[in-house]
Amino acid sequence: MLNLDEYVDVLKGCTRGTGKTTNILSRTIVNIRQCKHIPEADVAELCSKVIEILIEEPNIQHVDTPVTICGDIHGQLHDLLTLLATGNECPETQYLFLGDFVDRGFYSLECFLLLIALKVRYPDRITLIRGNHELRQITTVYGFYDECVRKYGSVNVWRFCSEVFDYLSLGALVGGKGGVFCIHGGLSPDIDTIDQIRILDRKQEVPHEGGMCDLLWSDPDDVPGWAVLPRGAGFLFGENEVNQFLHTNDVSLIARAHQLVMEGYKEIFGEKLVTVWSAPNYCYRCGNVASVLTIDDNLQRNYKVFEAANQDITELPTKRSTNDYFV
Amino acid sequence: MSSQRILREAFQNKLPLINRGTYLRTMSLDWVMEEFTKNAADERVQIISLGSGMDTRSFTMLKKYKNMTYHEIDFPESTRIKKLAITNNQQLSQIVNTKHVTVEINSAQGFQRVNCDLHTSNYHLYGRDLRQVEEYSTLLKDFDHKVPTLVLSECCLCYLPMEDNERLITKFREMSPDLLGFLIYEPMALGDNFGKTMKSNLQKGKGIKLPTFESLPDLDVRLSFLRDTCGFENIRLTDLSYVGGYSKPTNKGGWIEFKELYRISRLEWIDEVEEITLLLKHYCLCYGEYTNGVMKFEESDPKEYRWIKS
Ligand SMILES: C[S@@+](CC[C@H](N)C(=O)[O-])C[C@H]1O[C@@H](n2cnc3c(N)ncnc32)[C@H](O)[C@@H]1O
Ligand SMILES: [Mn+2]
Repeated sequence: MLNLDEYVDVLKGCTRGTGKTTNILSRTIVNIRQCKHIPEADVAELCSKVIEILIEEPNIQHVDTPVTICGDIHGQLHDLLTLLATGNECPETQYLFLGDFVDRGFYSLECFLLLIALKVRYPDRITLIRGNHELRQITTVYGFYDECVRKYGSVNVWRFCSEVFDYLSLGALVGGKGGVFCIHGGLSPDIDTIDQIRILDRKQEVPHEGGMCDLLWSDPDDVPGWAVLPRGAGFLFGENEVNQFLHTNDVSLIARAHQLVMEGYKEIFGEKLVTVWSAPNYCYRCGNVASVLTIDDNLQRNYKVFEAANQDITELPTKRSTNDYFV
Repeated sequence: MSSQRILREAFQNKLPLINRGTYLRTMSLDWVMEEFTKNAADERVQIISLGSGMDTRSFTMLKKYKNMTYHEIDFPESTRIKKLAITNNQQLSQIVNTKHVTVEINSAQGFQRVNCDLHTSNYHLYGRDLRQVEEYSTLLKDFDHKVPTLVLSECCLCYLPMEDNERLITKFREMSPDLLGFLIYEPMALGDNFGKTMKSNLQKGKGIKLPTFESLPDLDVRLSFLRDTCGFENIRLTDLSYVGGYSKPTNKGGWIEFKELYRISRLEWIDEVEEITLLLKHYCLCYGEYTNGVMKFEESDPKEYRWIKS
């Protein structure tokens, strides 16, 4: 449903915006929010427009405060809308999304289209970085590929979106020196400095191992040094590695997503690392709450917790294995 | 239940999380069953599978252990399908020592006329409602009371009301062969949000109600149920996240050796470790026996790293 502000926004776009594109864009945003079918040609157009913007962004995007940081979304469109209502709509609030927009949920495409449409419309008010699910190999297993084929009868839309994935930044630095390093997964034994990330060639499908892979896959844990991760990719890294990284790079906090947290967020290692999780009742199964983290101009942290949009399991569009329990 | 649907589900791609869970469940149940078979050290061993459904473990086990007799019990509608699947298949009918006959069923009446039992020298299939304990006298007459027997409930007893759980177990105890073990695998609520969501999803989404899910919500309650209410001895309990090596503080790789864990971790990438841990924590594996000492846990598992409680 449209609220008044959005409606005014659409009208503005129609009458006075920067021409036809803005007009179409605003309407598309409204349509996506209502879960309407977006014509393949519009998806193609949107993807190529967002690539024009993303291609100019560095591997580590500089982000000013205040900004609201969001964790995994995973195709839960109704919850993404709750998130935007909780943190205030973009562009009033500046957003930083830490990846994993797609897979698992039933509306991966709508979530991704909404985010890139906002990016095209307000490029300076929203930053998108890559998660381990923004990968062709992962989306073919975890649902996004199937969803696109189901909704469009061909792989084209999946191809367009996958192309966009390759251009997404790898991380962000909020507030400059002494600020917050933001990444989807975590650290890598191959990477000591943020500058090392800056010179990676990111415009490719993420490899199976190495620095770029670890940034998207690793998890913090109570381990001494580096340990092999039970996920199959990335590493477990301990408190010492975090302290070392913070010191070397002159940052005060690592904000990352990637791991389900029942309480929505969790600070560990003496509050030097935080996991932010933004998919409430993950997979319509886990019963967790979600959160977003706002970093203000003094680098103070403010968490907002929100619950799942009340969506009945019987009303989900398909009963595919997402909520299987093997009983 | 249509065979079409069964086939479709069998070939649908499953999420890595579900595949991993199925692997852990199968592997751990097989381990207990094979240890029981070895430990029984008898000429013969009997397996009774409650609510066996379309499970194929009977065939792999019978193929491997020539001294085994396998009994499977499920509703008649279910055993008829299984019986037809066996007799229509050359390999399966050979394994259970019965004739390979091609039967074509073209109507619902034809299906209803199929006898729901199958009895051979090493295999017994019974079409029964497990809640009808009165029928057990006819049911249990085929069991050899002198032979070590393992009763398996893989997601079956959880469908029965608590009273029927107790009645069934007690009945088995009364008619107990000299050596009887019980092996139970099923979900439990743990009283957390995941459990609550699971209950409502199963109920609303699939119309499934699981009485033991909340009545026996965790390993502590299950231990006292098995020990105090049912009178089992030599009890062992664990959950599947422990089996899979996901649970802290052990993190020892669970039932799987590190090398194997490393290998399977790379077959399919698990995208969400917290989620799989959470899901697996809600499944328990419980063993107990009458006539203490069939299972020699100290010998097979000296460090006792397989179990959380005993
Ligand atoms: C979830 S399935 C498990 C099937 C099999 N044990 C496996 O693990 O693949 C539960 C089975 O229990 C059977 N069952 C449930 N209640 C039963 C009852 N009262 N009497 C006989 N069978 C029952 C069902 O028909 C079904 O085949
Ligand atoms: Mn992730």
